[in-house]
Amino acid sequence: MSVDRLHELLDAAVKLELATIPPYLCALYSIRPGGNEEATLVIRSIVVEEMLHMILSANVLNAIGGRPRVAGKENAPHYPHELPNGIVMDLQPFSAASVEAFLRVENPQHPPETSDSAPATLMGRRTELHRSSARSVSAGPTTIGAFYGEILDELTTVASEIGERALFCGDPARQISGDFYYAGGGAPVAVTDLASARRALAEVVEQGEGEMASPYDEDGDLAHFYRLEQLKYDRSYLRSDTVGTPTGPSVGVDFRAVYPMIPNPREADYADPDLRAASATANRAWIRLLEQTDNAFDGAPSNLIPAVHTMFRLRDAMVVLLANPLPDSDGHHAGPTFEWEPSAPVRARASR
Amino acid sequence: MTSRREQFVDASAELTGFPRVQLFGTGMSDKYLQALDEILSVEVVDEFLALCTRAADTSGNAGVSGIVQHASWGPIARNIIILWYCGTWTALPDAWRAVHGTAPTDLDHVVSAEAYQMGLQWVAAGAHPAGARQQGFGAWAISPAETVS
Amino acid sequence: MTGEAEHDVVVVGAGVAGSLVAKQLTRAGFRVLVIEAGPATAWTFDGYLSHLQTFYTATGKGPESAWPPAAAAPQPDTRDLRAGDGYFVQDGPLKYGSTYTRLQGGSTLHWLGVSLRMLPEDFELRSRYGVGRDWPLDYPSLEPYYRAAEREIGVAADVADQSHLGVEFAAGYDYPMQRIPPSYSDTVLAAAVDGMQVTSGADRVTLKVRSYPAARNSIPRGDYHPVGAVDERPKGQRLARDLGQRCAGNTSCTPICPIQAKYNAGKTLAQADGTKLQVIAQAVASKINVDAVTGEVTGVEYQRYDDPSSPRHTVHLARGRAYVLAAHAIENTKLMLSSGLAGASGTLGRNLMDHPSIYGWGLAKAPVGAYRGPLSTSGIDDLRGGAFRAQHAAFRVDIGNDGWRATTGAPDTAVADAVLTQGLFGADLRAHLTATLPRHVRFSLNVEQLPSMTNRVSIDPRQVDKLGNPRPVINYDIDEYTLAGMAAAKSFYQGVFRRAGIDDRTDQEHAAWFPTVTYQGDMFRYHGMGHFAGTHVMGDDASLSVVDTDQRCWEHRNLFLVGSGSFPTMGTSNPTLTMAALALRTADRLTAELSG
Repeated sequence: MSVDRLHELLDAAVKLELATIPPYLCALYSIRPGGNEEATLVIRSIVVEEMLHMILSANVLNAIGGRPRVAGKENAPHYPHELPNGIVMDLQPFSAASVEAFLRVENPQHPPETSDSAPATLMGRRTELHRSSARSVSAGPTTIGAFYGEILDELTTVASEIGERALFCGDPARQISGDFYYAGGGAPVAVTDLASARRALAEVVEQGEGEMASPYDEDGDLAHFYRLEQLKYDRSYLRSDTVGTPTGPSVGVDFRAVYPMIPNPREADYADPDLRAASATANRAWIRLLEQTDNAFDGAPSNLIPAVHTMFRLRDAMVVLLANPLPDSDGHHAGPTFEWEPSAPVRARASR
Repeated sequence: MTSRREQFVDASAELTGFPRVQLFGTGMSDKYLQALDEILSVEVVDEFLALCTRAADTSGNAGVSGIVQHASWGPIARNIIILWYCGTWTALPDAWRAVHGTAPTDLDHVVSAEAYQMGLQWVAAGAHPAGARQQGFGAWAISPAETVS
Repeated sequence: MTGEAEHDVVVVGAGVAGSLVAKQLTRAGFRVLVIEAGPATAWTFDGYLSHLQTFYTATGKGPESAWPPAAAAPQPDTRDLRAGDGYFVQDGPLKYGSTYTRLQGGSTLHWLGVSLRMLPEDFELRSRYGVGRDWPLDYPSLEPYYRAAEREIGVAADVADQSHLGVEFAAGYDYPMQRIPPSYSDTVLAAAVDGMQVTSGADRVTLKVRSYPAARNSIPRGDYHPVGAVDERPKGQRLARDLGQRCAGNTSCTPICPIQAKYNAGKTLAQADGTKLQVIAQAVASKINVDAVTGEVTGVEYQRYDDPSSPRHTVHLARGRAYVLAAHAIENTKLMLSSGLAGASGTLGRNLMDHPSIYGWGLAKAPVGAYRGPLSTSGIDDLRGGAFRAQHAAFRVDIGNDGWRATTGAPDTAVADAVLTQGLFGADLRAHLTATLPRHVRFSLNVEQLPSMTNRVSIDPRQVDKLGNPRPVINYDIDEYTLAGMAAAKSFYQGVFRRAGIDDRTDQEHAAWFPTVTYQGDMFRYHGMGHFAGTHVMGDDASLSVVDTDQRCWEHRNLFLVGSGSFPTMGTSNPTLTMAALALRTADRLTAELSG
């Protein structure tokens, strides 16, 4: 039980949330324009929320004097990526398999997996498995919910040991507020003490699966987990439906109207120099996004504004790759590789 | 053996000044080829593509220039350029129609909502299609030099 | 005819004025019925997306291109101006260039979002400058309602930028959201233009490029929460509400914001108390029934249609204790006239005003990143007020971020010109476009118009639409006062272009078509801003006005006509914010009266 241990755990939490984002982006942008409107809205909404989760964890880490790190090869996520509960996240197009993976991620109470049930084609594209640092620091295979529970327990214990003021010693100016990030659920919680830390972490877990018999909450809204189930079953939840059995009309899922991205692509597999250049463009945008986010976490929150623009440039670069057929790949298309390999010197830019 | 689609994208690269990867990257290559086949007929398109391939192979840019200025092939070449840049089909000139005939689909129109959004004119401008592919809050305050990747 | 259940208040029109009144009254506990002529497709986000698809595939991208009307509720369209065969009967001598939208949400669906307050002097033109009319209200009495309207609509601005030309704010007040970041193009222009002096009459005026208050979501202040997209789907499938929390620079405010970061009246209507509100869309109000003895309104007949492509309908009656017409300056008037309620003052329908506007466009010295950001983020306000207004009209400058889109149809027309006329292709074509498009600059100069009794909307029983309702007959002219203002505006932008090194490329012959007017040998192409005013003017003398300062009709005491039709003069600001402030004031009056 120590502050150092807390720094380790929270650093892993930030990286865990970050690691879910590229797979969601691949699913989102692999959807061909003009269809799958519901899926597009759902996945976009989830991406916005995963970033919020990452920011909330970073706020807690900053509040206890830590330094969230997302830039650099050792901090950026690599794929395929194994989360603490054994779920493997691949870079893959929108598909039944990707929706399954997202369901497992969105359900924080999901039990740890001992074996993964991905299709053989996906397994064949997992040449190297990268482990989440969250998996490395936790006591054993754990659910995401339990992982955050462990963090909260540690915070409470250490606070009682050394005192709340001593624990929450971070500079409040490093907190990211609603000025610079916004999501459907509201603004990030600025963390200054145990109560606000609790609120921040409760936001992270709570926005996943609901726990009632009905999928609708008391505001009449559906949590993301149930929206993903609607995609899985291609049926909407009626008010009268119980959890697990939506019986309403189709939500317009069409897995064929998707660019057939090759799972877990590698830039080294792109022989065409123009394709390789397009991949480098996407990776440069990804790197820049991580650096701007890193700066935002390091006392310059306003960096999140240019970071949003960088995300859209990443989108444009991803779409170019996803729409390009990949020669000699059985009809697959290219896709973003999310590799940390700057191919041109990256100039540090002053934040506005 | 180059596929028909590849032939079309190769010719389009010469005509538009954008490389193949960028053209494929719009996701519109099949749809545009289909539109051409419908408006001009498969035979005419085949002939045009063969011509472009020969011209590029034998005399490079000068060859392609010859096609763009040709009385019969020029209007088709120019329409293909506008298709890629704007996502719209422009009705062929009356003089051309007098010689080659009129198809009912040969009217000014936006080919599709996707074609509008993937127009290359916005890429050339360093911008984005109005009403789509937004750049993010505050992006417009950044100098254009900094946003070109 | 079917008698309907009684409500406390019947509101005709679900645009910004009607929605604000409905929200406030339902929240105060009153039962409100809103009758809306057009469909309510924008009420759900998937309905809204269908309008976006319409926009993407439209060959012309004008204000109406995303918002086709229902057959039963036709609307004016800028595309009809040239042939003059649209909904308006354009009786001349000049064409009236503005349009509006008859759908739930009204013109806020496609407005630019400029939310300027009127200047204090705008309320006192007669007293100060001997022209136009004075308002029966002054700026200080409206100021609290401006603040309320800014919060209701969600306006982004910094008070520090806006306190000029006599505009004062309550102590300690700042706008609900921080100003929208100025565009790079704005900052380049400001570097050249700020501090430039121009002569105006006998005065020297110093120019400053200035952010304008915008109904566009930005970084919030204090406890304000930006309101995102409207998605009132039944059964909890609402999903899009996290869209539109911040402007993302879609550069299509007009005609449609894809994410609803810009205010539209649906946001207000969605905040009404749903248990007290009933909205009947696809219901055209067709006649106001009045008690012959008391003059009180006893009901409003409306024509309800099921199929927007067909004029087939059934007729119903809406009844309440009070009635609010919020159907638009033109439609309010049309309804009154066709109900035989012209009134004794002779002012109903008259004093029709617009902001006839001119464009200037050019090529900047270096790339400024055109075609990015909101359609505009800044303007030049310095000629909105001053002693010169005794001689000629004031004007406001809107500085475009959208290049030459509105003026020439670029970038498409630039591509067509390069390919078809200049014969460019390949790398040369791409280089040419990359070298020129980012340098496109355009100004829109909105010129004030004074009230004139001969500018009017009337009805003619021989001119009706498919439902047999009258089409508005417009008589419109632009007088010397405004023409001189246009000439001053033209000379102004030419001077600014010279100062900023912008190569003037204004070429009316090879641009989009607009109606023309000639002044002192110069031909001006003018366009409307969608800003209507004057047709049911407010006053404190019943013999010279239609409504009082509460927008209550003098001759029918339970009838209110809200909207910019109540304005005695327009100033140079978009009427929306002032209209909203007045609507909130009327809602206060109604709340007090219905409670008492």
